[in-house]
Amino acid sequence: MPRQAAAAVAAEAVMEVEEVGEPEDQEERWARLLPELLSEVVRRVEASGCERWPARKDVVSCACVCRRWREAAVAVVRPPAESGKITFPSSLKQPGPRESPMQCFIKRNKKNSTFFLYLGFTNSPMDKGKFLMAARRFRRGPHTEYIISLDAEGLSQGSHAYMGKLRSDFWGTNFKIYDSKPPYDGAKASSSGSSRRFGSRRISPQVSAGNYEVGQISYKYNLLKSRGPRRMYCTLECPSTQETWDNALKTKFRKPTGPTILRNKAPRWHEHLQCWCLNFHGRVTVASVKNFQLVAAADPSDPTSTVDEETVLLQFGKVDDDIFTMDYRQPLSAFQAFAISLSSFGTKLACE
Amino acid sequence: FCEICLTNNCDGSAGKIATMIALVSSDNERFEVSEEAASQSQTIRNMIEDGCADGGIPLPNVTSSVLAKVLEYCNKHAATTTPDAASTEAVIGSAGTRAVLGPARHGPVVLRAVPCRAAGRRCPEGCRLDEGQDAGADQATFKIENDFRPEDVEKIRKENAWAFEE
Repeated sequence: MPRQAAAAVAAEAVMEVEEVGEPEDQEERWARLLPELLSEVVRRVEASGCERWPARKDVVSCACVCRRWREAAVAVVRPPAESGKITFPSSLKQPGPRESPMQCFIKRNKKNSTFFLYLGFTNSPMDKGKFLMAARRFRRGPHTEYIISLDAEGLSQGSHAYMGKLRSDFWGTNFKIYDSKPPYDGAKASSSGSSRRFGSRRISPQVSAGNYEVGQISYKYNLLKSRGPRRMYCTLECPSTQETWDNALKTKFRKPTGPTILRNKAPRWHEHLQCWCLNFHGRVTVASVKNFQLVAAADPSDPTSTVDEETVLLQFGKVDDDIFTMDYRQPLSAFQAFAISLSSFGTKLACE
Repeated sequence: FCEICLTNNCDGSAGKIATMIALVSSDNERFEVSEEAASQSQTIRNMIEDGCADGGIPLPNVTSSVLAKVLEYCNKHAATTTPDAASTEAVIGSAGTRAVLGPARHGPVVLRAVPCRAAGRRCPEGCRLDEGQDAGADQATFKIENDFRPEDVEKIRKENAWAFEE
């Protein structure tokens, strides 16, 4: 139904800007629309209630009609760093917004070891949301891997929807994030699992079987040993926020941005409450060792570098038995935020 | 009028028992048509050949009033081998709905209008008689050719599926 509504809006937009012709010619005109008119049509579709999901799928529909429609749609739609909106699957590997975080939530299915990431329709994670990505945990010998996919059903490396994976060492203290696509032009693939077969499905030759390392996460005990929250360090190759975007899908040439280093914000000990506290601004409501906030950390190898150590770039925490909020902002992408959050489930490092 | 091939000018060559196929509209009305007529749609033809047509073929995006007009068109052209490729027929249904039938590669494309607010107003919405993917429905509505490169089609289809995923 919404798609027909979008078609009707688009039709009205065209009728306004063009003279109405004979009924038999009307449909022919669609194939000959000028690019400026096409852009205007898509702009109106976006403005007429398609700014938020689930209605936003109509914008994606516009981009899937033919090449000229696609060019118009991806030129009108701005990437998440500019617009604060997720539109295409490619938005998931682009940096998040700068000013205020993208509010998402994760639902866990313990039985199947699967996790589903949603973009919240509203502030409340108890409401429905737009499905973004799914992950499933697999044991691969001494490692545990979380396969991340666009398709809630097709969770394998051979699938077309494969986004990347998180891989942990045996003890669950060190993790690596792998992207199915190069994070910048000219990046080298790592040798992890590039020729694996998953289950009974052979990897299609058209699907890139490479994996590119884009991050590392390590968990350590607090110096106070078990009497404090664990420490997290992340080193990430983040997508660039500086480059000009040709359109919502690509930039001219993607350069590496160098390592972005994050650590978890240290909670404060409240003597009177006898607990460690972090201000999650209402987005986390259940105490859990998994909860964390990540802020930028200075590069230890560059003593002159200064970073903003106050702004929380990724916040993750429990609100219900199997529901967790995940709020992220640039330079992180949704994919990286999801992978880091998954490591919080994967680490065996517990504490009191 | 020949009850078997549903035409007025039956030449008796359908003396063999013609197989009837049932098409079921969105409002659950059954239409019995000859297999020959129904096979003008490639999708229905495939279903018949694969043996999926036994219980009747559901057409959830076509109402009975529109389907009746479509079948009139199909029956008219079943007797001829190649329908006139350039012809487009406008058929007025009841209650102000309007069905425009045009030729397509695989059988008639039904461009169906929802009940129009004012008589004669054009509402270019549409659906195929055969099921298409979401992108296909938009292409049918606006008669736009799908010109994506073959290597991009799968990726774009996945993108569209993701957008519609609940």
